[in-house]
Amino acid sequence: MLPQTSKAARHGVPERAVRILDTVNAAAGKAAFAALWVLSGVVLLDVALRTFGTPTLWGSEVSVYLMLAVAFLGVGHATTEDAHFRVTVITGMLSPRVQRMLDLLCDLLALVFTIGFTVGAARLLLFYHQLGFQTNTILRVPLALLQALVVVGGVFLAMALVANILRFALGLEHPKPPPDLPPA
Amino acid sequence: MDYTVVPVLAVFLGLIAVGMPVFMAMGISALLGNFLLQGGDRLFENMATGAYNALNSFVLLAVPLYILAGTLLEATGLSHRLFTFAATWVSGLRGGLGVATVIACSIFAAISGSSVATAATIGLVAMPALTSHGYPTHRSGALIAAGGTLGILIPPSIGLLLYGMLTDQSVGALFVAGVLPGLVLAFLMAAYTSAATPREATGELTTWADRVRAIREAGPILALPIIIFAGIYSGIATPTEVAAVAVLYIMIVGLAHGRLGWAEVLKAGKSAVSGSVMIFMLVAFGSLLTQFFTLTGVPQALTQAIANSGLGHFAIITLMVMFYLVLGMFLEALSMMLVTVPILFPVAQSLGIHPLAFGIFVVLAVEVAQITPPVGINLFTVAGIGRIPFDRLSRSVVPYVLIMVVMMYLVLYAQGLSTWLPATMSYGV
Repeated sequence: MLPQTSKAARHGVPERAVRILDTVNAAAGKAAFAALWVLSGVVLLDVALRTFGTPTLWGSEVSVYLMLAVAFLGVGHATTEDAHFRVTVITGMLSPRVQRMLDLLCDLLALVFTIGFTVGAARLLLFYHQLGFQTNTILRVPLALLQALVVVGGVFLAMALVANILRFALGLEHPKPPPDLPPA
Repeated sequence: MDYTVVPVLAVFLGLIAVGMPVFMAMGISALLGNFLLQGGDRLFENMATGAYNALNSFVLLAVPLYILAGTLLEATGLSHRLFTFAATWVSGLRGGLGVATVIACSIFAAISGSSVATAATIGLVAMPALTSHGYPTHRSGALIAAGGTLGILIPPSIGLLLYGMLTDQSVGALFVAGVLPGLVLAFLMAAYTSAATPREATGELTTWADRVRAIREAGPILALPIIIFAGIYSGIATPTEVAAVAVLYIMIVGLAHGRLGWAEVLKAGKSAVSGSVMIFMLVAFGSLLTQFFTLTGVPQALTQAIANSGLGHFAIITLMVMFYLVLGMFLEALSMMLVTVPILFPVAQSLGIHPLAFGIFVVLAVEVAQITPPVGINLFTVAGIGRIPFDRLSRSVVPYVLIMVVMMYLVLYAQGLSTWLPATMSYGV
């Protein structure tokens, strides 16, 4: 006879999966955080060197790449923290149960879109890699490397959405972020 | 015009209504639109390319830096010095603390590009002071919510940055263009606040010694708007470079005052990353929707329809004002900007409106959206800070909305308000 398993034990693997997905996205968020500070440093260095008449030739280009890194590394973490703009005026008038169902539907639809988007980005990455495309800038960075950021962003976003869906299925609370303010 | 735009818009609004994140609603609608227009061939590859290209922009670099400057300044907690500085100079006036709130919002706005950050930061300091001096809570809240909107008009401004990116205008010129309208709007808000405040609601009289002390204490923060404006106006540095200098400056001031530790830096950086990512995703996926609108010929059709309508200048401008007022009730500010500017910019050009003046007009419209229910984000922020019933706050903010609507007309009928200062810049417009 199989031993009886508690609800907690039955949820053990999916719960662990949620924790792992959240941890990976939190780590990606930290990488985005680091990229933001490096970006600030690079722009400042460029300003300082330009003041002394020796501007970098690579500063602007690297800054843009770092900004792309901030955008795509941080997208999953922002989704986990529910930091993206949403209009909740209409859903706010519905019962909590209906709200949760709508949230689930939105997450499922977003996941399907994200998977398609990520696959599209991955195909582009392979295409760029096979043809050896490079940026037409001084650093001649392989385009596949930059496109990889889009793919990674898509993967992180999909992971955050899967974690949200699992949370719904397991009846887990959504991690409440600190009340950071939207920037506009 | 291709009428596939109708189902796509319906899907977009439907997704927003059910609570889908706006950037995702933009992406899915654009996907549907492009599928209806061009079929499924390389659909996702094209979207991935479009999203990447939209973000691969030097102009956008300033966004995370200004957000970081704002979050760092918030984290230092030095904003109370701005309020004290403003209060010592005008607290003797009727409604002096209200006027001081507008001044503090204007100064904070000249450092941060964010309206919500301005309302929240100044609100935390001003709300208790206003309440303790007999200002009705809901009126104080309305004042702070409206004053906060100066954050995206007085440069630096994330709204103007995005407008510059969308319409290919100089961001430096746009920032300089926002100065005079920002000051006029601040003056109008202050004048209304003073006139509408009960006579007994005045602050304490202060001495010159108090004022000098307030200047000394707020000096380092007061210098920052001057550095930012001088850097951009003179053309010594780009808006992006000025933003990086502002980050460094605030770090130094925060450390020198012992108000910035590792915890504050972490909190500010984390908040800046979330805020930046949110905007980047709106830009990336909004560009896909814009691309679809362009392919369907919506902007051209709208321009043509207006040209053939026989409507006068005033009627068309009123239609645009009404359009933004209604849209602002349902769409969040930056999303509204990203969706509408590519469509309305050609219309504005056909009316002979200067791109800089139209930029200020759009930013004012976006500001109104920040304080009109049901999605006015500044109202939510201030209602939370002051624990003010949302409906009372919404009613109290109406006079400020009207002032902003008057400003929207003013910037289009007196375009020199926006174009004069940029025209005096060494690198011109």
